[in-house]
Amino acid sequence: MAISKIQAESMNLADTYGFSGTVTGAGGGSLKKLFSSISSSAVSNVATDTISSTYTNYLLIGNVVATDGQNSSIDIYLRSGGSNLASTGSAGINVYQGEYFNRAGDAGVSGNVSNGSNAYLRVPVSQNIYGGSVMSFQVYFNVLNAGLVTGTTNLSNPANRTIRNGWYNWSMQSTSSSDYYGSQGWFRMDNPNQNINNVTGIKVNSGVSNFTKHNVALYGYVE
Amino acid sequence: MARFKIFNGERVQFTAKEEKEKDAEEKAWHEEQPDRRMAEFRRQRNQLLVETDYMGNSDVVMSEDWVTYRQGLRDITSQTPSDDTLSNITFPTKPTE
Repeated sequence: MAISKIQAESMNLADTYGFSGTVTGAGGGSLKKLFSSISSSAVSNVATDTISSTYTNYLLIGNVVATDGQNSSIDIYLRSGGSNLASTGSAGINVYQGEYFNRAGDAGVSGNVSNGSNAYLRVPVSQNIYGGSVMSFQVYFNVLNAGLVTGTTNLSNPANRTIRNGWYNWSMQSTSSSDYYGSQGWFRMDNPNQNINNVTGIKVNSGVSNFTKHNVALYGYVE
Repeated sequence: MARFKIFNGERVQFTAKEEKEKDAEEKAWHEEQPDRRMAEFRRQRNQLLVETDYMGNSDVVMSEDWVTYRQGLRDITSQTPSDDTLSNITFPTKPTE
């Protein structure tokens, strides 16, 4: 079939062309891969310091296999200045989260929460990942590097705090029966003293033992 | 056995400090295990109760078997799970009618 859109000159579609200009016009945001790791060697965590102010929002996608015979979880920590932010309290990170989940064998939906007692996002927070099975997850982070400062209208004690929030989902095999579960959840990472102003990395940590295999990638949203 | 991590794409052995931190994490994980098992136990029990809640409606007559079954579910949390699969827990048998 003739290519009618190119009229002034012909263009050999089998040739190779180098573009030095900028493409503008139609099209919206996209994802830029900042980090990825694939391995079949056992590791206790996967970390990267590739978060910056270049991107506002981030997407973390992963598949992991927990150690055979050892039920586990995935705990996601923030990093700043080359260190993990592992402390709770006013000067630390307090993670509030909730999730609804169901099991393929049940129509009923259950839920679970964590009310600020952890410095990490636990995925899942409702139950264990079955040792040796595949766990798949993705986490969307809002304004991860700088955080969002709350207003004072409805908050008086303390007035201002910095929040990094987002949503996540997962699917996996759990321990209570040999079938499958899936979930959607939300989280808010609260820094009451507003002293953590520059998150530069993330650590995906096995709650106990190792990931015997993993495939983890971090993307920034290009605006 | 030495532990490893992936940092910015490279597999790196834990430092002594990291080994100590991971030991503390694993200790916390194991200490919290009974609470996690109990939460899962209650979730499964509650699911079974919800499935028969409609029997409490005023226009439904609940048989003695169902009354016993539901009471058994309410009382079952006096047991303590010994593992993540709740293998030592015996749920009451659901009546057939």
